[in-house]
Amino acid sequence: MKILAAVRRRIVSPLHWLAWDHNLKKLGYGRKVWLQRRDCKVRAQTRRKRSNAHQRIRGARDTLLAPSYFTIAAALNERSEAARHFLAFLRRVRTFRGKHLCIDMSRVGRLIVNAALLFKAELCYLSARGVKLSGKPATKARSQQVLTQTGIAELLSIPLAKAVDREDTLHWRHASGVWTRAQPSRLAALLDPELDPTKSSLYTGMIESVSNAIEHAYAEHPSRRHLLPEQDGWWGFQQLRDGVLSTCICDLGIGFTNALPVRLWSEPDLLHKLMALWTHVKGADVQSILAAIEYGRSSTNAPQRGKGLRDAHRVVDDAGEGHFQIASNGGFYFYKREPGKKDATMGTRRLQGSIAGTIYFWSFPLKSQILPAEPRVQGAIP
Amino acid sequence: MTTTLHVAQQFSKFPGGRYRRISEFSGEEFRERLLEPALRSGEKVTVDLDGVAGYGSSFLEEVFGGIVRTMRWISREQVNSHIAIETNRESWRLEANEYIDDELKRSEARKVSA
Repeated sequence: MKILAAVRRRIVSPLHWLAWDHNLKKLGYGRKVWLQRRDCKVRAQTRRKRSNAHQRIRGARDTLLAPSYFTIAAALNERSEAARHFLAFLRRVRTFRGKHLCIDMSRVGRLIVNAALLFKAELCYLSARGVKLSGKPATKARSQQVLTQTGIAELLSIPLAKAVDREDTLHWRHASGVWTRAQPSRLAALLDPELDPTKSSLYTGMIESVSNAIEHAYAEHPSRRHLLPEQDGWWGFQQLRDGVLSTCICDLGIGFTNALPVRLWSEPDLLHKLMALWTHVKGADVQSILAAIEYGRSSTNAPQRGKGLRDAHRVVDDAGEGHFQIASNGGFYFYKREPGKKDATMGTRRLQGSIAGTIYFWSFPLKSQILPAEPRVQGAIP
Repeated sequence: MTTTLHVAQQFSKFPGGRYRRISEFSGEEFRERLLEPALRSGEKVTVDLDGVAGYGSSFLEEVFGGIVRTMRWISREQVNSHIAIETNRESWRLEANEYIDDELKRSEARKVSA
């Protein structure tokens, strides 16, 4: 009777009981009942342990182990699981709901500029939410220098490197600004003194990206994160390495898909072109990025709007060679210009997870960006 | 009489985005604070674009396309009699002119449809 009651309470499933009954038919009734009760007890304990694992004990620290390689999209010749591991780690940081997070950076060996920027942005966001951050330093001296130079070490309250003297870490610069209003002078930190700012289009690309972030990325949307009025909303990193300047701007906004949802019924003239695009491109994030680039779409629908991404491409076009990339949520777009080739190549792919934001990334050889001086021109007629 | 507006000296070396609500030193602010008052005084205005870190398309469109919309100019002659662009970067001048022409085309289309 007791066993039947247990079956009714769904502690033991009927099928399971039958299997048990078959296996234990040589045992006495009392022994069977004892075994059944012990089994129920073990199951209940397991359930309790599992549910406790999700509960945060007040004041307790949660430790996350950072992966060895920080990258959001591995190159074709690299192991793709590195990007998957990093994105999974980033998701754990993003979804952290406790009070105190400790990040073990001891294994970190290599940081790609855009992935490092995303990580820093997430840390800044957690810090602004009141999460106490701490960490364990990187064991590699080079990684520790990068963490120091980028400000990540300070955010995690880990000891700073005694000296930042390596050539590849010395030239990391960082900038950030509030999400409510673009402050163009903040971008001055990312303008290389070696690069004549009046002859570079990098500032143009950056200011358009920041303006886009403020106007569109943090638009009212159910998926938008909760932000305080003076909280940082965009972050920028720059790295000069082997004469190549890599710059990226990121935000933690709603992404292209939500800011510019592609609705064919509202754009009937684009139907045919977009249908052609649809057959080749998979994923709403990639489709939204491409639609914004190809057709200069703007959420405002005003004819004079939607020129920002053109500026972003122009950085690489003016340089003559280099890369431009956009990653937005789970979508990735790249634009590549090689010296001696007339046409640029472009492509898309789906990331192995969402970055829950948008990154613009430019990379070009520094010398090629310095354009020859043009003659001074006056007059309105071209 | 001609008035020259130096963006770098009189406004900012780091011009911002399109609207005041989203950006400091925006195109809208430049147009409303400097360009429109100078034009309304009846003088021809030369806008010197040099000396800044760069311009976003939205800044240039809001200044030059926006001034055509605000002043309700309908022809290139009207524009040229009121405004000139000075720069040593040909691309900025071409871009500013592109936005002026685009806005003139739109105002022409509106006129036809009306």
